[in-house]
Amino acid sequence: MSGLYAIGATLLSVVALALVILQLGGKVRLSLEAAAAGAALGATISLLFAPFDLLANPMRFAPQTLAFGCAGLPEEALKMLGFAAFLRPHWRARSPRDVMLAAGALALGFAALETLPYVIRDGEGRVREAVTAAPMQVLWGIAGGYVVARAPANARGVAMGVAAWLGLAALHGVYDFGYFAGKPDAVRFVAFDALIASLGLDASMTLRVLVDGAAAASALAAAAALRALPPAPSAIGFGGALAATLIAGAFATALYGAGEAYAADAWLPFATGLGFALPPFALGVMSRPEGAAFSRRQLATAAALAVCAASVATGVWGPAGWRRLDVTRAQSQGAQLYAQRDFERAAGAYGRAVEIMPGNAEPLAQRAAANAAARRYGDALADLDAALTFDAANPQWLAQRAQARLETGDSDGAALDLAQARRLAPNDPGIMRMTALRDVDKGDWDAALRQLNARLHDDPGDRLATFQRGRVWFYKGEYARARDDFAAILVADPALYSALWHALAQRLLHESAGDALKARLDGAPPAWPSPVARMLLAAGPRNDARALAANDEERCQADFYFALSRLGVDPSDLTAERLHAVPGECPTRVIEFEGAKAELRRLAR
Amino acid sequence: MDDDFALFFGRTGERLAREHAQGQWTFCWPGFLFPQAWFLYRKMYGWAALVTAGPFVLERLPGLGGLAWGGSILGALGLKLYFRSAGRIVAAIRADSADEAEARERIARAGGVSRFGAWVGALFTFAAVISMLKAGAW
Repeated sequence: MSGLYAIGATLLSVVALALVILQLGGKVRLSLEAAAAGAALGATISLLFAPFDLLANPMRFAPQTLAFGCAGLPEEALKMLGFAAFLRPHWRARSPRDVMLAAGALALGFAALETLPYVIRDGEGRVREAVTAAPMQVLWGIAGGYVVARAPANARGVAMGVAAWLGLAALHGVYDFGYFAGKPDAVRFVAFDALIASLGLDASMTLRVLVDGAAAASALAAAAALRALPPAPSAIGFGGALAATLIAGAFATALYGAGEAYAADAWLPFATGLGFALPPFALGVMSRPEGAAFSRRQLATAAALAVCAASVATGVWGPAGWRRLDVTRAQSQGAQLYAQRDFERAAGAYGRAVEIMPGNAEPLAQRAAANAAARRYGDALADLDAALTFDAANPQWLAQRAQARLETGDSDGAALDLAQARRLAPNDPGIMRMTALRDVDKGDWDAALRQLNARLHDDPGDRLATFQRGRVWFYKGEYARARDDFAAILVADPALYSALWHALAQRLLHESAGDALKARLDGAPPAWPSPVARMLLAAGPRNDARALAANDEERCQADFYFALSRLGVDPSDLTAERLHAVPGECPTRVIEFEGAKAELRRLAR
Repeated sequence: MDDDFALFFGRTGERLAREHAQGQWTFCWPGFLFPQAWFLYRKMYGWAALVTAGPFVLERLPGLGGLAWGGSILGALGLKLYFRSAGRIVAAIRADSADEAEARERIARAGGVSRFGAWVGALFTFAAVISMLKAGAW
């Protein structure tokens, strides 16, 4: 399926609908002029939303915001205004039916210009939108055109126009919401999910019903409009009109599955501004001074003020503001990839943010974190050095650099950075924990305990600090205290390691070990460290987990837990020998390295 | 016929009718500077679509973005195009109207200006400026 195919599908859809309009009695010249006016309106609204790349939705707007705030309300407002200003007074429109069908043609021109740009850009991924957008727009256009054609030129007519606008915007919004909310990464509003769950409905089916329901309601609204106005001499009566309308509706739904991945877009501030600016235009254009609550001049002034406000906002934001928007977009993508543990691509996304705005240090530090997570400590250090040139007194970045320096073996540099970070932020949780780790590295367990106790005094719920303190008690041979700390976080900690250490402490205390570990293992995935946990529970004489280890880190863990578990039941020289081998094969950054060293030191005493 | 043109041209009818009668080409500054707004203001929807949708599509086609400025050239020719269009419309209405009153009413409706059209054109220009700012063109 090529991009050319998508463009062809769009054009086919547009031509088919143009034929439907002509078949219903639309005048050729009037329809052409209406379509031209619609194209101008469609290009205008597309250009207004273009800077926000709405289909890719980098700002992560909710589907309801996209559907109603960025599509339904502004698009229907602009079209209704176009019907009232361009078509109702048009010299070729001799009857309300002419206006109504011309409105369909205007909506068709609008749809073509609204759809073509993203079809040209995205090609094959947009076939479904290409073929479904135009029919729905035409249906809404015919229904809106009917109201504009029949509305009296007074306040009542204005009220009719506004009601029709809101109704069509609601149909348009519900139709779009079905698509936007069905995307895998869409964040629907909670009440919607709660409602469909309470009704026992399937979410995707409910959304499909919403889309089809909105399409059907739109087709019926257009059919009712066609039925309500006397047919033109060349028209084909109610049956034919209904059939033609349903053909248009079916056109939208029959090719529903032809498209590929559906992407969404939105821009809340602009949509809100437009939503506020356009109704005064509508009222101003559609009302007559003698019949309206406000004069055209007043309404036009209000609208002009809104446009001025938008212009001032643009001036304030300026190009730098737009760049900030792009930076935020790249950072948000980076954070998402980081959360998915795709550190390489996360570093790439943060790198784009750095390129867009080189004077912004935050993405540098974020890229450093991604690089460090990908174990590219040299790159991480370079990024942190650069970030710290912008803000040399940032304690988090200093702590980050201390960690990276530790990983590269520069323990003196790490100590300096960490000391400076502590001076700047003595109560920062991360820095306190890291200081404790440094103390453990140095073998100063009492200092580590003081640091961790202080941290837990500030926040007794700090799971990481509790886990660290448990390990320090363990290293000191105070297994009962270690067991208590590990037990305190067992419930809340989703990771398997707290349960592993808890079981080890129990084993060394000669307690019945492993109930908590067994319970945790039941729900855990089979991946690492589950093999270690199973080995620990089996308490057998063989290190079965080692065969399943995929790298040095996992082999180190397998040996460490095996040796420690045997130490609880078989305190022989053989067990000590096994333990001796662990520090030699362990990467220094893993906690089991320190655990093995501590245990060996304790055994030697 | 001159009365028809004066009626068609609306508020500035007499001045435009004079220029039309002289038959000389006049550079259309408003059309040159704001082609979208000017064509929509003058209810020339076909030309408006060309200068509005044209650049919008051309900008998205590789290698054709430079042609987007062609809208201003068309805008500069706006008055000439407007006079030609007025002649056609007035002739069509005269040929298709039952009586003088109907013809005059339709000519007045066909001509004049659309303030809403001007606002849409202004909105387009505003959006184009924003897009250029974002693209770093300025």
